[in-house]
Amino acid sequence: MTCEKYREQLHDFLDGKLPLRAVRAMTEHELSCPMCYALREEMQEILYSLHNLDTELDMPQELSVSWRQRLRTERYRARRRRLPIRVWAAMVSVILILIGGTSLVRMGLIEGGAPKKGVIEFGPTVQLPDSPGNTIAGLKIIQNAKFEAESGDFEDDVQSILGLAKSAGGWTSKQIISGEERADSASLLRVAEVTVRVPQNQLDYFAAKLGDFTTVKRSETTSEERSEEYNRTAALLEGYEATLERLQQRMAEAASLDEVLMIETEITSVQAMITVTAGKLSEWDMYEAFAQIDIRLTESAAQQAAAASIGARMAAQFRMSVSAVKTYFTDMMIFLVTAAPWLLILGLMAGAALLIERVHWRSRQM
Amino acid sequence: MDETEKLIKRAQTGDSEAFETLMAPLEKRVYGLALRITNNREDAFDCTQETMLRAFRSITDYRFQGAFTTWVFRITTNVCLDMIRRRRIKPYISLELMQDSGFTFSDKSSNPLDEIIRDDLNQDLKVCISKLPLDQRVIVILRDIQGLAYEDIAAILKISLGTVKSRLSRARERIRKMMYRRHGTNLEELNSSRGVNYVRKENHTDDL
Repeated sequence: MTCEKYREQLHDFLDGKLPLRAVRAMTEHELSCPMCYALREEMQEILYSLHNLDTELDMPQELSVSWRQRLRTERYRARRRRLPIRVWAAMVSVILILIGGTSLVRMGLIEGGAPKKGVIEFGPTVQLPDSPGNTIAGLKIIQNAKFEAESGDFEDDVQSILGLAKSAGGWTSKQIISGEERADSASLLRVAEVTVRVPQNQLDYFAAKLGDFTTVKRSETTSEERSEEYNRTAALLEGYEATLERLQQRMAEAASLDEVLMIETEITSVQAMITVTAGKLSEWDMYEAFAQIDIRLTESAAQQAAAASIGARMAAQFRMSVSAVKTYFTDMMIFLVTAAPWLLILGLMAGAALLIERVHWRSRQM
Repeated sequence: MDETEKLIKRAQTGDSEAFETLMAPLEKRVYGLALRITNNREDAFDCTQETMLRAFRSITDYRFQGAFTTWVFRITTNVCLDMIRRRRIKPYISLELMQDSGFTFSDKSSNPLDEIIRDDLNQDLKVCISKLPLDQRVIVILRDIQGLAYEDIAAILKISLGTVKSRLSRARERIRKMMYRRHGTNLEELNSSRGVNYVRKENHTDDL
């Protein structure tokens, strides 16, 4: 073995990591090389001294106490930091109450919530009048309404209007969608002109629901009493019917062909008048039973802009989100205000329970 | 399940008394390790406290893989290295400071001359260790003072076994050269004055 090899393996040798054969070779080399032997002796002495360097180390006496104290303080703080289960339960309860209450407001079970956009809740089953004609004091009153509204979600809102009319027991009699030039002449805004008919007793319901998913800019409701005209027409119809009866009697008694032809012409004329008059009465009956609602729905500029570019769409979407958040928190505030007395009672009860628990805990500590 | 394992399991459930019992035999070694790495008594004091707290906080992470002592030393080493990096502790310290550090190394049974020589030797050794680069110093402390196995050192420092060996060889060689410059033949004198053959303990981790 060379001295170089010996020195290479020296540390493994000192650490007892060499196999027996290598150890023998090292020892044999030492016998023939005093320098390597001295080196090993020197290194061994250093290692021995290092190994025993800290055997009589004086550890500061206060250290032992100090770390234990810190440990206990830490534990105490950790225990204090760790929220007890009842605090978690209280926090969860508060959150649930807030979310639940706000949901109740949004569902309309608590009055005063913001209208829901784009959501249609179908009303109660429509009770149609049993027979045409206004039963109130025998008056014939025809009601009509006109709305001008803006839509943030044009296609959906048009469909919502049609669905709303249907759900109210009515139908759509006209639907036109066209484009209208914007103020900045940059593009067209879509406009829907829709005419629906709904039972008169559903008119208010329809108007209220329309406001839930569109922004109504203008509304106009007209009531027109047509009793006199109706009664006159009804009397006219009775007259025509009486005339028709008389003509039919005369026809039965007619003796000549000329007379028959003349009576037949008159009958045809009277029958036509009866048809027209009866049709008029039916029309009035229908107008009275079903109110006509004309809606002019304009696509809102924000939505139109949203379709223009990604930036504009993102901005519009962001505005919508902000608006939704605002609406949500408004609903939450409404709930809080509505439920304030109950929440106050609940809070007082919880506070009292905590106070009792604390007093009890203190008495146990003493 | 031995007593230590029971204590560890109890400590893992948050039993601080069990933890204190578990750490009591280790606190001096932790302090010694911290002192050798930081070269400063106050820093070693702080590091020991921090090690204890960290060990308590993370004892649930100990999975009974490897010796508990190694796990504690890993925390100590990390705490000390963190402190050195954070506060940029000077790697070298003066002999005066070392003497002020409360070290005594005396063999009551030996003669006064022997004691003086050995005392001198130990002080020099401490200075030599403190003059080593940090990476080598930590390895010498873990291996030659604390007596950890190469594998444990590699695991603690997250380096390869080969790196541990090479750094250790370099560190020992440096110490030997420094000692030689300082003491010359003192080692031999000490050897002859003792008249003993040193039997180095292979491993004195006496892991819990």
